[in-house]
Amino acid sequence: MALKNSGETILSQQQQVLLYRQGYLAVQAVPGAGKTTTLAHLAARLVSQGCCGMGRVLVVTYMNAAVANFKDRVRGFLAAEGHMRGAGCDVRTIHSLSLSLLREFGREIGLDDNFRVLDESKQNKLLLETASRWLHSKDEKWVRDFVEPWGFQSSKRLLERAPGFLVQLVSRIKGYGIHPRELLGAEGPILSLAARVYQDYQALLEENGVLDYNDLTRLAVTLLEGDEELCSLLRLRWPYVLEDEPQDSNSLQERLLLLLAGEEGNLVRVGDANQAVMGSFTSSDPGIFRSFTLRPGVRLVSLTTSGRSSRDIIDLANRLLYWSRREQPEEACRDALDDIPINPAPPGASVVNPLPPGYAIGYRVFETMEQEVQTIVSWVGDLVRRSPDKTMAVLAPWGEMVHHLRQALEAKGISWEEAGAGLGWWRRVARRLAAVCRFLARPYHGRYLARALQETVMPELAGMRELSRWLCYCPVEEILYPRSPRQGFPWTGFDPPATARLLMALEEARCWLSASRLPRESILLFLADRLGLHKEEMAVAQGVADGLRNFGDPGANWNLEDLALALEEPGGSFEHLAVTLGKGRDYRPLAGTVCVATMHRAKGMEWDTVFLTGLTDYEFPATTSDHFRGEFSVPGGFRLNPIALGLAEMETLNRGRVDMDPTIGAEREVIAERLRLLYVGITRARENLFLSCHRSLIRAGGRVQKTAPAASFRTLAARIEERRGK
Amino acid sequence: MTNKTVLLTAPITVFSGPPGSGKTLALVAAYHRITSAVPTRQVLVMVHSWRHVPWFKERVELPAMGPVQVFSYLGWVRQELAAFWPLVKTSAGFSQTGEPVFINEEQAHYLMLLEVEKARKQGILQGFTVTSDRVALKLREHLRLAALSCLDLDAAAQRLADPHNSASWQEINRVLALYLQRCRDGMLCDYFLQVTLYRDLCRLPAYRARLRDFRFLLVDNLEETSMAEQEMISMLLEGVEEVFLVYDPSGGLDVARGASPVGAASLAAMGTTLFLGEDQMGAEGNLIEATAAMIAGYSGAEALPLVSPNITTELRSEMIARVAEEVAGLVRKGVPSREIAIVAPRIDPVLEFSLGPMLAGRGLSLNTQSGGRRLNDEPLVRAALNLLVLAHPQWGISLELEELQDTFTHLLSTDPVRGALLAGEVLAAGELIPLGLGMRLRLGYRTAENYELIQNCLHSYRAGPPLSPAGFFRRLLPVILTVAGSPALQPTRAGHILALAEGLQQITEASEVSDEGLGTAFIDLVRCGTVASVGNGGNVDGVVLATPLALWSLGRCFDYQYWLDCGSPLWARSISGFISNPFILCTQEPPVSWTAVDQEMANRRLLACIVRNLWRRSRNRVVLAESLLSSTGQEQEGGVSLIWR
Repeated sequence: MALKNSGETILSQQQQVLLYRQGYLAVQAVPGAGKTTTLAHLAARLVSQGCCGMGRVLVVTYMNAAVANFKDRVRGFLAAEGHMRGAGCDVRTIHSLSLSLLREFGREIGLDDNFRVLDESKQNKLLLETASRWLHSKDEKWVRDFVEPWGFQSSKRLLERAPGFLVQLVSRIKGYGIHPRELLGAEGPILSLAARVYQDYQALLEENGVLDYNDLTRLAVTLLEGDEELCSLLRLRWPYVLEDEPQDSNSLQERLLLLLAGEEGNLVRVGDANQAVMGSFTSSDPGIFRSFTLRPGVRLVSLTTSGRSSRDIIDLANRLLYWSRREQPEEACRDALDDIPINPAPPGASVVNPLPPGYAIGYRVFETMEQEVQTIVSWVGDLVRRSPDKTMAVLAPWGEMVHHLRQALEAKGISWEEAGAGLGWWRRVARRLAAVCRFLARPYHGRYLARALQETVMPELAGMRELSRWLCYCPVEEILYPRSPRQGFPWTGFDPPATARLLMALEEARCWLSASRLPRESILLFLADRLGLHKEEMAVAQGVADGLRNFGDPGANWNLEDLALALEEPGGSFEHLAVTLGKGRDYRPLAGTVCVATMHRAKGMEWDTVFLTGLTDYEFPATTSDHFRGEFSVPGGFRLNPIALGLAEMETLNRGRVDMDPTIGAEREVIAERLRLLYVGITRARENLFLSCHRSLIRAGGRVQKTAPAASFRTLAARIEERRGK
Repeated sequence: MTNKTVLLTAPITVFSGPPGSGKTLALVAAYHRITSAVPTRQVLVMVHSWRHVPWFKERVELPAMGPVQVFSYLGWVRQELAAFWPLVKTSAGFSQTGEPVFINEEQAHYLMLLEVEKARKQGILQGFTVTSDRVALKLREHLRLAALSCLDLDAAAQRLADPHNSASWQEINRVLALYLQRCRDGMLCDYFLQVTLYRDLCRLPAYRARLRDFRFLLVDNLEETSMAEQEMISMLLEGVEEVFLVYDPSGGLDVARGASPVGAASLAAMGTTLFLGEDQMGAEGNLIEATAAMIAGYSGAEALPLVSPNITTELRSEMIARVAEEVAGLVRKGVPSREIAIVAPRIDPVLEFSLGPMLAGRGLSLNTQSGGRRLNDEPLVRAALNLLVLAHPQWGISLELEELQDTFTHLLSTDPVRGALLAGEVLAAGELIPLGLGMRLRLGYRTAENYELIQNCLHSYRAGPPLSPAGFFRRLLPVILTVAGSPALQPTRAGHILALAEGLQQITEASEVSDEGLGTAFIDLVRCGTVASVGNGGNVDGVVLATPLALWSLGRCFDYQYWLDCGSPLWARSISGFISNPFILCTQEPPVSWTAVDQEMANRRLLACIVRNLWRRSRNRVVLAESLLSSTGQEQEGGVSLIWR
């Protein structure tokens, strides 16, 4: 039985959730079960039925894009019932929630209300600089402390990689809410090293009045833990706390939400531990949500019906689940996926699973990654031509392969886009702004002038080789500000229409230069206006301008060249802002355009056709004897994971012991998480699914690396064969 | 005015009413009446701010009646301390002979910063995730509030200290005590010392006799006075013949600057109240209640009159554009631009620079009243600082090409390309060098000549012993102004930077601070943005852009007000900082405990008060504008926008 409400279809399982009115509730939802819809509907009902009294519903998510999506849905539901947009419901990411609490009440714990926040990209950069500076300035004493006990043969290689793993280690430690003060007694070689880097980094932040993302949650918890009055006040403000995707939360984030809800309060957590794939990068842990579901007093509802994928694809996902729990060779990893099979929509329900003609799942093993990439791209091209109305994604387990796929798609002229963020529009804007900023930073260089004109007001300059070449070598001051009519542009010798266009373009360049005395943020706004940016483009430009005094590293004095670099930095602060403000908010896969992304980025999305590539044993290990990323080989044939070792040293510091070999423990976590990642990948497909892998790839420097089909791939291939046979 | 003339029948007359009801004009009328029979020197007028002094003087228009005794509290305190210094200096711990130096905000900041940095190096004041500059700023604010609330350091700390963690207050007071000792040793008198010393002075019989010189006392904005001011008013009551108080019972907005509305109410209760204008209290009481209720999240309040349909957009850029469009439309319909005010909780560069050109494109100018413009935003100031750096390579401060380009473009009145060319040459050489023929040709004769004037001046400066920044500017600024020409405000900016440098030198000499790092400290002080610029540099007749408190302090009404960023939590941002809390300090009866709920309620009351006051200052319409997202992408669904839902 399903009912229609506000244009969305609600299945009977979902209705159980919508009846919720108080207490702690955990909702386990399989992929495609309508998690977000259900939660948004619940939020809207709590508001519209006046359950919140004077307060509002607080919805917490972990992704910016999810905020926009969620808000749109709640607004839609509320508008259908005659309520004003957004009224009665606050949707926040966990970081923006922490930030607003600290801005409002942070003075209670010694925070100034104008503190600055480093985003993740700046945080990593600053941490990397701190680690590198520390490592290079300490007479390599640490090499003696660290390298010799572990027997590393090449300190040079270690030196190259140490900053990277230290950054990860410190971020993880910070994610647990641990302050460097608590690591003062650290004696383990890795932890003591990380503690010193962490101490330097934290001191730098504190001296400059800056917080990073980890500080936000840590301090918000500190704030609430010490102030029951404040918690009571906030419970009046937000009598209901709803959390989306709790499987991606860490213990600190859970603590914050529990404090906000209170022991007797109202907390709803809707997630799926089987889709927890962030543990490798963050301190998140699916075990936290699992424990919550088992907590006394927590009511549990399972949403197991999914209308997203075809029955065959659901069968394959369930086969992976069955295999992982009963046949997966590493027995300790058999609890990677919870035993909650996906059920297709029952007959008669208004939701119907896609019904492709025939069995639409395939697989193939390629000899090399190059072959795999080229062949898949070639098939993708054919499919786009044959089914231009279908959405399609090619997903790979790691960034380098994604890069190869994009290159191959571009080489074949196939239209592609990134998943989720959809930042192409911003990158084009950023490139134009950056080109003009570079010109303003060095206005006497003709080549910068030529580039700026070409990127903005005179794109045709790219095809005018002579004129372009002449601009590159001209004395710019005489072209733009001639001291006499005899000087300036030599108006003879060039095509008259081109000359006329150039004249207008030079007028624009003079206009840009007239702003060069303005403060940096004002220049940017001026340029945004001159370049005709509008809507989201202008909003991001304004955000960049507003953030110029905030985004910088502590003490950094931004100049225009820095700004140009930052504007174009992939994954940098400004791209982050563009995701928040920009068109990515409404990402919907485009038919006829291929989405290329890592499997991690694909979470929460769906396409008609999905290619899952690179399913090798290297990327999806099944036993601890497989190869693992991030490990160091040491004499005697052993492998060590320095991050795991560092965390184990911390465990020893706190508890006096560790329960198992930390490297083995870390390997098991990777095996489990990769299984979940594959499960996520499979369940992104609606109608067609293709799995592939390769037996070798060529690494940088020409080294050939042998791989093999992952054990999970082989299992799925066998299932595909079996079903095809039927 | 005639229908508001009031007969004065009691020794204390209280003109009471909401903003815009003519209270202050009634006070002016009373002044006229008194001074028609009594010399002006016997009539003391106290106004809320030094900005109101000239306003009052203009209104009374009594050129032939002798000196008009109109003061802000601090102006009065300084005058009296200077006149009666020998009476208090010993008791206050000032050991040296001579006159005190009344130091300004920048000088006090520099001294405080020295103490904070020294303390932090010793591991003190480590608990704050804040720059030393901000700590110094907040400590100064705390000192000012303590003084205005008639509290010494220990009493203030006792009110604010968390009983579970008093250690941090011990540290804070240790730093403050060192700062004050340094002031005393150098005969420097900051705000705290001025107020404290004046209160000591008031206790001396010799001085109390002096207060009897005044027969009449007139006080404007009683509700905004601090406890220290109220103490002085009470003292004056003993000797004067008649008192006139202007009082708005629902005012008291300036809590951040020490206003103590409860004390003001007690004083007002001693007099005979004359209500001016219509009795609005019923409706306005509801407004405050409605405001507080709506901020708390109530829904369903009815829309209030005078509020036009809202401007609601997704992006802030769209909201700004819509407001600019509507404002231009009003002007086209004949509304004078100076009758339109745009109010925002924060005047950030985006707002100012986006709105400015949008209005300029429609032939309108913007008159910004935020007081937030930084001295370092002035091109002449930046140029002067950069020359200071170039003249002192021993300080090890590096300059960017863009900074030098800006300097040369501005000083030599050349184009930015030639400015950058020259900057590149100078940076490569590390100093101002003579120009080669090729460069002279590219720059042009006049630019090269002007450059060489500055270059020669710096060259001769560097040949002698280095001077302090003040000495440097005294020597260089005339040359700079000659070369750069004198557009409006240029000499004012030059004067400001010179005064700042002289101020620092003065306290350095007086308090025996080593002047070794004075140059770099001076540069840091200006660059970090602590020092505000003088004047707004804009058109005083244009559309007013102001923060709520800045608009309120203008003391005038507007036909139209546009309230921007109504969803921003900045509207309701707490005025309490991470060190001090005016709600706790500026009250006669300190709360037994102060919880987050108390703070929240105090913030709401204050916001309600601000909203009400602004609303009263709109003759025609208040337009509310909000965007769902802030410039930095933060969701905004709070602030005043909830009031109207």
